[in-house]
Amino acid sequence: MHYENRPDAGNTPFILLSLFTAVEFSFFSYIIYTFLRNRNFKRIVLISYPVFLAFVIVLFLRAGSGVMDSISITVEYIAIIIFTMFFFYEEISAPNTTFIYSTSQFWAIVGILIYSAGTFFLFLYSDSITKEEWEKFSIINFIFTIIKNICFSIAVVIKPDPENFNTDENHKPHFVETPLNPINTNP
Amino acid sequence: MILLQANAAGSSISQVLFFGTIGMLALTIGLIVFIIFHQRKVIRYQMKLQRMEHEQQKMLLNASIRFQEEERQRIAADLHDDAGPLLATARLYLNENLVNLDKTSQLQSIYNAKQIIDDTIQLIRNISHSLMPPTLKNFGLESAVNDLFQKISGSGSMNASCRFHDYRERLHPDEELIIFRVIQELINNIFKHSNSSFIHLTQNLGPNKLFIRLHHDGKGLTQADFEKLNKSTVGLGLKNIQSRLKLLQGKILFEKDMSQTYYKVTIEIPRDESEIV
Repeated sequence: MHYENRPDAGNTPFILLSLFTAVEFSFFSYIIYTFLRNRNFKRIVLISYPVFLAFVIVLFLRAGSGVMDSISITVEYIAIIIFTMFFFYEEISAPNTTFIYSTSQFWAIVGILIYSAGTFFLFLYSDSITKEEWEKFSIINFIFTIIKNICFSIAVVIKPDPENFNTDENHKPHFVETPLNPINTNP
Repeated sequence: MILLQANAAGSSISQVLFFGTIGMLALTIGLIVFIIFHQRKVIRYQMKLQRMEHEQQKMLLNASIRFQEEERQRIAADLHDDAGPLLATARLYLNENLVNLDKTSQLQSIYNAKQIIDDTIQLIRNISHSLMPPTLKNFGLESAVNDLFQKISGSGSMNASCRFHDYRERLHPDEELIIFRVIQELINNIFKHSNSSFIHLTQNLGPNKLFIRLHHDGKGLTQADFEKLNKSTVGLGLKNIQSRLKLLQGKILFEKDMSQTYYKVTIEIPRDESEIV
């Protein structure tokens, strides 16, 4: 396949694509890290962060310029999906009295998971599709970005049930402080 | 991998991409739905358990209140039926003393009144001792239990013996009283229901635990019977035992001896070194 036919070629510099992947991974993994309570899971997220950054840098240096960084995005999404599984595993194994969907963490994680899973194949094949096909399938990216943003909005707005409030110190009820939704870790 | 092979076999990337995305989305939604339903199920189960525990607590509380009321009624009956008439009789003798001017009759009635007042004092002392045995307060659980068993043996109705193997340091007086009441209640039950010819009590110390075992050769309870009675509305004494032991975070185990001849009741009390007097 010619370089000119590849998606985003000529439009976005490769360094920006790689940088975006690294920033996106940092953002998602930070959110998940703050929601996790199990030390081992936290450690895995913490260790995988520099490993992934090194991986992105190596790929960037080896690939040079021009192509879509599909490998690093694929690896990123696999890692993020695994991290979200950690969160769900914790939630179903912890003796919680709060319904999972009444917490902001759940909606943030659902947003991340749906976005990562939904665009996984799009970015996996982004190196193998033409520019026209990319433009055609970009709608998948847009749809899942909207879903992710809706989920994030719910996470910001949702209020915890004071009756069933989880008093675990590390279990923050809200990850973004807003006037509607002040962060309050005191039980 | 399969998708990539399919791709190599000639399927268009668009199809793989489309179905792959749909598949991933279906998996994600499936996972989220599963987690939501699973968690709801777990929470419902926990709530059910909590409700059951609450019911149990309520039952124990009711039993304890009823027991208290029965105890009050018993004391009231003792005072009303025994002490009341005695004091009234003493009053009559003293009244007679006021009317009767004959010195011999006066002395006789004073003597009678004194006798009755002595009896009343003894009666009130007995009531007081039944409420709080002085031996327990002054000399501890071992002496109080020994005293109790001697009285049972002395009555001739049953052969009762007890042995404290390791009770050099007394427990907190409140704990001793609770344990004593539990032993009293168990012995009461053995008297009422078991028809046994002997009771033997032993005390031992385990690692941070105090064990008290009661053996008897009559008709006894197993743990299943105990739990069944505990959940039912009858068995007030057993509920009372349970609620008393709950205060000490203790356990009680009813079982049949290995030889299948005796019934054994084991009381297990966790021992806090700081609470030893």
